[in-house]
Amino acid sequence: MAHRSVIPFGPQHPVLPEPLHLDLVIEDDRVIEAIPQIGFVHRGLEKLTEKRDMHQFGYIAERICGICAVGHSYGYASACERMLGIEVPGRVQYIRTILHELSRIHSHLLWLGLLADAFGFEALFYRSWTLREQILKIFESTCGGRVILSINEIGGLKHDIEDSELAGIVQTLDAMRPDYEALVHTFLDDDSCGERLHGVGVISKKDALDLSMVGPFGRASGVDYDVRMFGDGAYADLAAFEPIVATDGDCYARCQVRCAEVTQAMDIIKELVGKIPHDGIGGRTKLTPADGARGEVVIEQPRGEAYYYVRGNGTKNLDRFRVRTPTSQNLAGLTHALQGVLLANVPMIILTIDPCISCTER
Amino acid sequence: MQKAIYTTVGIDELLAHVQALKGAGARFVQMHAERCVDDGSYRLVYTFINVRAAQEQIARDGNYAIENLVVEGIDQYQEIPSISSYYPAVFPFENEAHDLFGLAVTDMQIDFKGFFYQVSTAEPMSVITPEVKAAREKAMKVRAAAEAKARKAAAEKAAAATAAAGEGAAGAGDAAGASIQPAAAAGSDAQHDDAAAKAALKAAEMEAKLAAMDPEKAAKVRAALAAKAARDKQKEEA
Repeated sequence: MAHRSVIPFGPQHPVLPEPLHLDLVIEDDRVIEAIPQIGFVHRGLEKLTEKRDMHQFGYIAERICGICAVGHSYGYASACERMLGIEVPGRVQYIRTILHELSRIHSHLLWLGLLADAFGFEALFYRSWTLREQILKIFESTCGGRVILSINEIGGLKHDIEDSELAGIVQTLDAMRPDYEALVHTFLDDDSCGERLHGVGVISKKDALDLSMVGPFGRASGVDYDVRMFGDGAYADLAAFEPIVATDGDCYARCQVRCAEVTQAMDIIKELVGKIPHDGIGGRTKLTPADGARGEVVIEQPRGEAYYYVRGNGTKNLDRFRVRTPTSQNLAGLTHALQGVLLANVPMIILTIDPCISCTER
Repeated sequence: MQKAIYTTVGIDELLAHVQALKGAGARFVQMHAERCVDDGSYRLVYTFINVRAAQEQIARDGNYAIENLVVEGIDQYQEIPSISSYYPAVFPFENEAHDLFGLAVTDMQIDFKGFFYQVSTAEPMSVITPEVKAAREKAMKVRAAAEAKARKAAAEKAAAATAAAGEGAAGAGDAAGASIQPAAAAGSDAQHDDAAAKAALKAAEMEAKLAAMDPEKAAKVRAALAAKAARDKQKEEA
């Protein structure tokens, strides 16, 4: 009979970019069970609504995560606007969506780089992050910040992005495409990448649905769910939108979905820039939420569906703010994906869910 | 367009509702706890989206719904049944409700028994600070004062309208009798009524301001006003 032992994996570990702990129950070198634990860097941001008013809290919401910061401020502002019954101008929705899609490109390129790094392909890691740098430069030139943009506020935007700047974004993305296609070709067609990704950490569509998996992690297993397909905000004006889905459910499929989503985001940005209305950028509202007023939204963050909920109590502070990030939802899927795999593949599988423990430890 | 549906359910009906949603193909989105500042009770919100139903509804009228089950008035030590047998992805949220709010969720599929979060303060999200309590009380008083003011204004408007209608009728019927009344006496009564009405309005406004103030500050202002009134009375008597 094989010897069974428990390997404590993380929260500090060379392959883990963030503090996640896993108790890996192994027999020989195969994982039998994985029990995750988080909570090492919990910041209590939801409780901070007591000390910061709803406008100040927008800055805190944006700092939930250093990668999907734009999405968090977008989701928070949208939830508050829903609570207050505010309809923002079309230009606001378009600019928010364009920045959100740029954020998706930079997040996926960051992830592709980390994946290349995880299987030891350092040149590919370098190429991915070089391309990502161009997105960060777009952020810097249009908003002044590389990650924290602070452009969203409840009721609109702090400043406009000129049409000439938007055209410049499209030009930059068009110029990136050949390099990006070469990068994707290496990820998806190179044998050294494929050998580490094919057939590793497989999750079936049934399991993915049962475990309520979200984002590219779920879509790689055939779950055709992407919040953008509901057509909220500027997504409603897209000529067509179809979630990108793969069926193999392994690490390769997750890579495939993210690679395609970058191209899809580039197309969305190009289409929206061509259609952007000129109806103003709104501004900070002076409304105070009514006692018991609620607002909630779901948006598609780069890692998957994120949920935002706010509840007013008649004061300038919120009674409750709730954010459910994609990683919290995918923890159950992660534990499932780790069952029965070789110990050597554990880092690769953890990476392919693109965990963001900072988001989860809001 | 995204819409939210909130259905309040009893804690004993929760599992039946969750089972029905699961049967209808709804996917689990999240679950969270809230603490009510007013009575200290807890509220749980379970959120679901039925993707297929949403797509069908969007095709019909462009809308779709996020469905919420809300369980109100939960006592801290009341047992809450876990929904993890229907939706295993709920385990981080149920453990969170236990660790951060101190709620007793039973039969969790993955139960960390209070060690999911490393917290330095027990049940930190359930703490209602004095500042929050005071802000809430102040907001309630402001709201009550605003409502009282609105009611008073409405009553005054109605009274003024009634008086105007009465005066019109009286003016038509008693024009001759009214002309023989001493003009000075009539003027004095009107002035007296006007002064009394102004004083009453001023008192009501002051009361509204006091209600909106910090309770401690309001008590000090009340004491100062009472002292001033006593001094004025003494002066009048002297």
